[in-house]
Amino acid sequence: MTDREAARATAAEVGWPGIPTSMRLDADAPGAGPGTGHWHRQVDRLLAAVERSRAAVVQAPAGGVRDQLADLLHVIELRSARYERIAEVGQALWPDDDTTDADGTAPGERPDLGGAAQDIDARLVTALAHLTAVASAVEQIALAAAGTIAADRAALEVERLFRVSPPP
Amino acid sequence: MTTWWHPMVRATARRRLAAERAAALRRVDAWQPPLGTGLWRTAYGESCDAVLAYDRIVALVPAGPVRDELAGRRPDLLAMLDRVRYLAENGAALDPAGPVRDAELLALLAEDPHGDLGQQLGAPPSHLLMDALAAVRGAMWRATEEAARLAVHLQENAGATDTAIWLTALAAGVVSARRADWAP
Repeated sequence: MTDREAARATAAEVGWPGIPTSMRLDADAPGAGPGTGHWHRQVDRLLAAVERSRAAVVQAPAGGVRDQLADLLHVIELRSARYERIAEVGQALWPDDDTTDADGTAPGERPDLGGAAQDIDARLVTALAHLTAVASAVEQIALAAAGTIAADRAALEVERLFRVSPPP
Repeated sequence: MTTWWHPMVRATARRRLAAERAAALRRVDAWQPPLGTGLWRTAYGESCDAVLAYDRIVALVPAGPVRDELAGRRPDLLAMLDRVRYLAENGAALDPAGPVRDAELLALLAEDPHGDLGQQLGAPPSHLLMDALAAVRGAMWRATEEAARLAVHLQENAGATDTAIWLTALAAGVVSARRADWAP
Protein backbone atom coordinates (compact mmCIF):
# COMPACT_ATOMS: atom_id res chain seq x y z
CA MET A 1 0.00 0.00 0.00
CA THR A 2 1.43 3.39 -0.99
CA ASP A 3 1.40 6.41 1.32
CA ARG A 4 -1.40 7.99 -0.68
CA GLU A 5 -3.51 4.86 -0.50
CA ALA A 6 -2.92 4.71 3.25
CA ALA A 7 -3.87 8.40 3.61
CA ARG A 8 -7.06 7.85 1.60
CA ALA A 9 -7.95 4.84 3.74
CA THR A 10 -7.46 6.91 6.89
CA ALA A 11 -9.50 9.79 5.45
CA ALA A 12 -12.37 7.47 4.54
CA GLU A 13 -12.37 6.16 8.09
CA VAL A 14 -11.87 9.24 10.27
CA GLY A 15 -12.78 12.33 8.27
CA TRP A 16 -16.05 13.66 6.95
CA PRO A 17 -18.02 11.15 4.90
CA GLY A 18 -15.92 9.91 2.03
CA ILE A 19 -12.45 10.93 0.94
CA PRO A 20 -11.68 14.65 0.44
CA THR A 21 -11.91 15.49 -3.25
CA SER A 22 -8.38 16.92 -3.10
CA MET A 23 -7.05 13.50 -2.07
CA ARG A 24 -8.96 11.35 -4.55
CA LEU A 25 -7.77 9.60 -7.68
CA ASP A 26 -8.69 11.34 -10.93
CA ALA A 27 -11.27 8.64 -11.64
CA ASP A 28 -13.08 9.52 -8.39
CA ALA A 29 -13.07 13.30 -8.98
CA PRO A 30 -16.46 15.07 -8.68
CA GLY A 31 -18.59 14.87 -11.81
CA ALA A 32 -19.19 18.03 -13.83
CA GLY A 33 -22.56 19.81 -13.98
CA PRO A 34 -25.06 18.13 -11.65
CA GLY A 35 -22.76 15.10 -11.38
CA THR A 36 -24.01 11.53 -11.54
CA GLY A 37 -25.62 11.13 -8.12
CA HIS A 38 -28.10 12.93 -5.89
CA TRP A 39 -28.09 16.27 -7.74
CA HIS A 40 -28.43 14.53 -11.07
CA ARG A 41 -31.45 12.63 -9.76
CA GLN A 42 -33.02 15.91 -8.65
CA VAL A 43 -32.51 17.32 -12.16
CA ASP A 44 -34.05 14.16 -13.66
CA ARG A 45 -37.16 14.66 -11.51
CA LEU A 46 -37.44 18.30 -12.59
CA LEU A 47 -37.09 17.34 -16.24
CA ALA A 48 -39.73 14.62 -15.80
CA ALA A 49 -42.17 17.25 -14.51
CA VAL A 50 -41.42 19.49 -17.51
CA GLU A 51 -41.87 16.53 -19.84
CA ARG A 52 -45.24 15.82 -18.23
CA SER A 53 -46.33 19.40 -18.98
CA ARG A 54 -45.08 19.10 -22.56
CA ALA A 55 -47.06 15.89 -23.10
CA ALA A 56 -50.21 17.55 -21.71
CA VAL A 57 -49.84 20.56 -24.03
CA VAL A 58 -49.60 18.27 -27.07
CA GLN A 59 -52.85 16.56 -26.04
CA ALA A 60 -54.80 19.84 -25.78
CA PRO A 61 -57.03 20.55 -28.79
CA ALA A 62 -55.61 23.05 -31.28
CA GLY A 63 -56.70 26.59 -30.50
CA GLY A 64 -56.18 29.50 -28.17
CA VAL A 65 -55.86 27.43 -24.99
CA ARG A 66 -53.18 25.22 -26.54
CA ASP A 67 -51.30 28.27 -27.82
CA GLN A 68 -51.36 29.77 -24.33
CA LEU A 69 -50.14 26.51 -22.80
CA ALA A 70 -47.35 26.26 -25.40
CA ASP A 71 -46.19 29.78 -24.49
CA LEU A 72 -46.28 28.82 -20.83
CA LEU A 73 -44.25 25.70 -21.54
CA HIS A 74 -41.41 27.91 -22.72
CA VAL A 75 -41.49 29.76 -19.38
CA ILE A 76 -41.48 26.45 -17.52
CA GLU A 77 -38.45 25.27 -19.51
CA LEU A 78 -36.55 28.45 -18.70
CA ARG A 79 -37.42 28.05 -15.04
CA SER A 80 -36.35 24.40 -15.08
CA ALA A 81 -33.00 25.49 -16.57
CA ARG A 82 -32.55 27.83 -13.59
CA TYR A 83 -33.22 24.96 -11.20
CA GLU A 84 -30.71 22.83 -13.08
CA ARG A 85 -28.04 25.45 -12.48
CA ILE A 86 -28.98 25.55 -8.80
CA ALA A 87 -28.47 21.76 -8.72
CA GLU A 88 -25.06 22.31 -10.30
CA VAL A 89 -24.18 24.67 -7.45
CA GLY A 90 -25.25 21.89 -5.07
CA GLN A 91 -22.92 19.46 -6.84
CA ALA A 92 -20.08 22.01 -6.77
CA LEU A 93 -20.53 22.50 -3.03
CA TRP A 94 -21.32 18.93 -1.97
CA PRO A 95 -20.38 16.55 -4.79
CA ASP A 96 -22.26 13.27 -4.95
CA ASP A 97 -21.68 10.74 -7.70
CA ASP A 98 -23.00 7.25 -8.31
CA THR A 99 -19.84 6.49 -10.29
CA THR A 100 -17.67 6.38 -7.16
CA ASP A 101 -17.85 5.31 -3.54
CA ALA A 102 -15.12 7.81 -2.61
CA ASP A 103 -17.83 10.39 -1.81
CA GLY A 104 -18.99 8.24 1.09
CA THR A 105 -22.32 7.15 -0.40
CA ALA A 106 -23.23 4.02 -2.29
CA PRO A 107 -24.78 4.47 -5.76
CA GLY A 108 -28.37 5.66 -5.37
CA GLU A 109 -27.92 6.49 -1.71
CA ARG A 110 -28.95 9.97 -0.61
CA PRO A 111 -26.02 11.93 0.92
CA ASP A 112 -26.43 13.25 4.45
CA LEU A 113 -26.42 16.91 3.45
CA GLY A 114 -25.81 19.82 5.80
CA GLY A 115 -25.53 23.61 5.79
CA ALA A 116 -25.97 25.41 2.47
CA ALA A 117 -26.15 22.10 0.57
CA GLN A 118 -29.20 21.15 2.62
CA ASP A 119 -30.76 24.56 1.88
CA ILE A 120 -30.13 24.12 -1.84
CA ASP A 121 -31.67 20.66 -1.74
CA ALA A 122 -34.74 21.97 0.08
CA ARG A 123 -35.01 24.70 -2.57
CA LEU A 124 -34.99 22.05 -5.30
CA VAL A 125 -37.60 19.95 -3.50
CA THR A 126 -39.90 23.00 -3.35
CA ALA A 127 -39.20 23.72 -7.02
CA LEU A 128 -40.03 20.14 -7.93
CA ALA A 129 -43.31 20.29 -6.00
CA HIS A 130 -44.23 23.48 -7.85
CA LEU A 131 -43.28 22.13 -11.28
CA THR A 132 -45.32 19.00 -10.55
CA ALA A 133 -48.29 21.19 -9.59
CA VAL A 134 -47.79 23.15 -12.82
CA ALA A 135 -47.78 19.89 -14.83
CA SER A 136 -50.98 18.76 -13.10
CA ALA A 137 -52.59 22.15 -13.77
CA VAL A 138 -51.62 22.00 -17.45
CA GLU A 139 -53.13 18.50 -17.66
CA GLN A 140 -56.36 19.68 -16.04
CA ILE A 141 -56.67 22.66 -18.39
CA ALA A 142 -55.87 20.52 -21.44
CA LEU A 143 -58.57 18.03 -20.41
CA ALA A 144 -61.05 20.84 -19.77
CA ALA A 145 -60.25 22.41 -23.15
CA ALA A 146 -60.89 19.06 -24.81
CA GLY A 147 -64.18 18.73 -22.92
CA THR A 148 -63.02 15.52 -21.20
CA ILE A 149 -63.65 16.96 -17.73
CA ALA A 150 -65.87 19.79 -16.51
CA ALA A 151 -64.19 23.19 -16.79
CA ASP A 152 -65.47 24.23 -13.34
CA ARG A 153 -63.88 21.18 -11.77
CA ALA A 154 -60.58 21.83 -13.56
CA ALA A 155 -60.54 25.47 -12.39
CA LEU A 156 -61.11 24.41 -8.80
CA GLU A 157 -58.39 21.78 -9.06
CA VAL A 158 -55.88 24.30 -10.48
CA GLU A 159 -56.67 26.73 -7.68
CA ARG A 160 -56.18 23.94 -5.11
CA LEU A 161 -52.88 22.82 -6.68
CA PHE A 162 -51.30 26.25 -6.37
CA ARG A 163 -52.67 26.71 -2.86
CA VAL A 164 -50.98 23.45 -1.78
CA SER A 165 -47.75 23.97 -3.80
CA PRO A 166 -47.15 27.70 -4.15
CA PRO A 167 -44.32 28.96 -6.36
CA PRO A 168 -40.93 28.74 -4.62
CA MET B 1 33.44 32.84 -1.51
CA THR B 2 29.78 33.27 -0.59
CA THR B 3 28.67 30.82 2.09
CA TRP B 4 25.16 29.64 2.98
CA TRP B 5 24.97 31.91 6.03
CA HIS B 6 25.69 35.02 3.96
CA PRO B 7 22.64 37.34 4.29
CA MET B 8 22.18 37.57 0.52
CA VAL B 9 22.18 33.80 0.10
CA ARG B 10 19.77 33.35 2.98
CA ALA B 11 17.49 36.07 1.63
CA THR B 12 17.47 34.42 -1.78
CA ALA B 13 16.68 31.06 -0.21
CA ARG B 14 13.85 32.61 1.82
CA ARG B 15 12.40 34.19 -1.32
CA ARG B 16 12.65 30.89 -3.19
CA LEU B 17 10.91 29.04 -0.36
CA ALA B 18 8.20 31.69 -0.20
CA ALA B 19 7.70 31.47 -3.98
CA GLU B 20 7.51 27.66 -3.80
CA ARG B 21 4.99 27.83 -0.98
CA ALA B 22 2.90 30.40 -2.85
CA ALA B 23 2.93 28.23 -5.97
CA ALA B 24 1.88 25.18 -3.94
CA LEU B 25 -0.96 27.14 -2.39
CA ARG B 26 -2.13 28.30 -5.78
CA ARG B 27 -2.30 24.67 -6.83
CA VAL B 28 -4.10 23.71 -3.59
CA ASP B 29 -2.33 20.38 -3.54
CA ALA B 30 -3.37 18.21 -0.60
CA TRP B 31 -0.30 16.02 -1.08
CA GLN B 32 2.29 18.77 -1.10
CA PRO B 33 2.96 19.37 2.63
CA PRO B 34 4.79 16.63 4.57
CA LEU B 35 1.86 15.55 6.76
CA GLY B 36 2.13 11.76 6.76
CA THR B 37 -0.89 9.57 6.20
CA GLY B 38 -2.96 10.29 9.30
CA LEU B 39 -5.45 12.80 10.65
CA TRP B 40 -3.37 15.85 9.76
CA ARG B 41 -3.38 14.96 6.08
CA THR B 42 -7.15 14.38 6.19
CA ALA B 43 -7.79 17.70 7.94
CA TYR B 44 -5.60 19.53 5.44
CA GLY B 45 -7.33 17.75 2.52
CA GLU B 46 -10.73 18.82 3.86
CA SER B 47 -9.46 22.40 3.97
CA CYS B 48 -8.16 22.15 0.39
CA ASP B 49 -11.65 20.93 -0.56
CA ALA B 50 -13.13 24.21 0.65
CA VAL B 51 -10.96 26.10 -1.88
CA LEU B 52 -11.70 23.62 -4.67
CA ALA B 53 -15.45 23.83 -3.98
CA TYR B 54 -15.16 27.63 -3.94
CA ASP B 55 -13.48 27.54 -7.35
CA ARG B 56 -16.19 25.27 -8.76
CA ILE B 57 -18.92 27.56 -7.42
CA VAL B 58 -17.30 30.74 -8.76
CA ALA B 59 -17.04 29.08 -12.17
CA LEU B 60 -20.85 28.62 -12.11
CA VAL B 61 -21.59 32.26 -11.29
CA PRO B 62 -22.56 34.20 -14.43
CA ALA B 63 -19.80 36.51 -15.67
CA GLY B 64 -20.10 39.95 -14.12
CA PRO B 65 -19.18 42.00 -11.07
CA VAL B 66 -20.39 39.38 -8.55
CA ARG B 67 -18.17 36.73 -10.10
CA ASP B 68 -15.24 39.15 -10.22
CA GLU B 69 -15.78 40.01 -6.57
CA LEU B 70 -15.91 36.33 -5.57
CA ALA B 71 -12.80 35.55 -7.61
CA GLY B 72 -11.07 38.48 -5.92
CA ARG B 73 -11.72 36.90 -2.52
CA ARG B 74 -9.86 33.69 -3.34
CA PRO B 75 -6.55 34.94 -1.87
CA ASP B 76 -8.34 35.24 1.51
CA LEU B 77 -9.10 31.52 1.37
CA LEU B 78 -5.53 30.77 0.36
CA ALA B 79 -4.26 32.74 3.34
CA MET B 80 -6.49 30.64 5.60
CA LEU B 81 -5.22 27.49 3.89
CA ASP B 82 -1.69 28.67 4.59
CA ARG B 83 -2.65 28.91 8.29
CA VAL B 84 -4.13 25.39 8.18
CA ARG B 85 -0.93 24.12 6.62
CA TYR B 86 1.16 25.74 9.34
CA LEU B 87 -0.98 24.18 12.08
CA ALA B 88 -1.05 20.78 10.38
CA GLU B 89 2.71 20.72 9.83
CA ASN B 90 3.31 21.51 13.48
CA GLY B 91 0.75 18.93 14.55
CA ALA B 92 2.25 16.27 12.31
CA ALA B 93 5.71 17.04 13.75
CA LEU B 94 4.41 16.66 17.32
CA ASP B 95 2.00 13.74 16.88
CA PRO B 96 2.33 12.19 13.42
CA ALA B 97 -0.66 9.89 13.93
CA GLY B 98 -2.89 12.73 15.08
CA PRO B 99 -3.90 14.27 18.40
CA VAL B 100 -4.50 10.91 20.07
CA ARG B 101 -2.54 9.00 22.70
CA ASP B 102 -0.67 5.92 21.57
CA ALA B 103 -2.93 2.88 22.08
CA GLU B 104 -0.07 0.68 23.34
CA LEU B 105 0.96 3.28 25.90
CA LEU B 106 -2.64 3.57 27.13
CA ALA B 107 -2.88 -0.24 27.40
CA LEU B 108 0.30 -0.36 29.48
CA LEU B 109 -0.89 2.43 31.75
CA ALA B 110 -4.23 0.69 32.20
CA GLU B 111 -2.38 -2.28 33.70
CA ASP B 112 -0.71 -0.14 36.35
CA PRO B 113 -1.62 -1.42 39.84
CA HIS B 114 -2.13 2.15 41.10
CA GLY B 115 -4.96 2.74 38.66
CA ASP B 116 -5.54 3.65 35.06
CA LEU B 117 -3.00 6.45 34.66
CA GLY B 118 -4.04 6.85 31.04
CA GLN B 119 -7.19 8.63 32.25
CA GLN B 120 -5.01 11.22 34.01
CA LEU B 121 -2.97 11.95 30.91
CA GLY B 122 -5.81 13.67 29.13
CA ALA B 123 -5.58 14.75 25.53
CA PRO B 124 -2.14 15.24 23.95
CA PRO B 125 -0.99 18.85 23.53
CA SER B 126 -1.41 18.71 19.75
CA HIS B 127 -5.18 18.59 20.18
CA LEU B 128 -5.00 22.37 20.64
CA LEU B 129 -3.47 22.60 17.18
CA MET B 130 -6.25 20.42 15.78
CA ASP B 131 -8.87 22.60 17.46
CA ALA B 132 -7.30 25.71 15.94
CA LEU B 133 -7.11 23.99 12.56
CA ALA B 134 -10.78 22.95 12.78
CA ALA B 135 -11.74 26.56 13.51
CA VAL B 136 -9.93 27.86 10.42
CA ARG B 137 -11.29 25.00 8.30
CA GLY B 138 -14.79 25.87 9.52
CA ALA B 139 -14.29 29.51 8.54
CA MET B 140 -13.12 28.42 5.09
CA TRP B 141 -16.20 26.26 4.56
CA ARG B 142 -18.48 29.04 5.79
CA ALA B 143 -17.00 31.34 3.14
CA THR B 144 -17.54 28.66 0.51
CA GLU B 145 -21.13 28.11 1.64
CA GLU B 146 -21.81 31.84 1.43
CA ALA B 147 -20.49 31.82 -2.14
CA ALA B 148 -22.85 28.92 -2.91
CA ARG B 149 -25.82 30.77 -1.40
CA LEU B 150 -24.95 33.80 -3.48
CA ALA B 151 -24.66 31.67 -6.63
CA VAL B 152 -28.10 30.16 -5.94
CA HIS B 153 -29.59 33.57 -5.23
CA LEU B 154 -28.40 34.80 -8.63
CA GLN B 155 -30.27 31.92 -10.27
CA GLU B 156 -33.49 32.52 -8.37
CA ASN B 157 -36.33 34.55 -9.72
CA ALA B 158 -38.18 36.21 -6.89
CA GLY B 159 -41.00 37.19 -9.23
CA ALA B 160 -41.63 33.64 -10.38
CA THR B 161 -45.31 33.68 -9.47
CA ASP B 162 -46.46 34.26 -13.02
CA THR B 163 -46.89 30.57 -13.88
CA ALA B 164 -49.47 29.99 -11.16
CA ILE B 165 -51.30 33.24 -11.94
CA TRP B 166 -51.22 32.45 -15.66
CA LEU B 167 -52.61 28.92 -15.28
CA THR B 168 -55.26 29.97 -12.76
CA ALA B 169 -56.42 32.68 -15.16
CA LEU B 170 -56.34 30.28 -18.08
CA ALA B 171 -58.46 27.74 -16.17
CA ALA B 172 -60.95 30.49 -15.36
CA GLY B 173 -60.89 31.51 -19.02
CA VAL B 174 -61.80 27.97 -20.11
CA VAL B 175 -64.75 28.07 -17.67
CA SER B 176 -65.93 31.39 -19.18
CA ALA B 177 -65.46 30.10 -22.71
CA ARG B 178 -67.53 27.03 -21.93
CA ARG B 179 -70.30 29.10 -20.39
CA ALA B 180 -70.34 31.33 -23.45
CA ASP B 181 -70.25 28.30 -25.75
CA TRP B 182 -66.98 29.52 -27.31
CA ALA B 183 -65.25 26.23 -26.78
CA PRO B 184 -66.16 22.87 -28.35
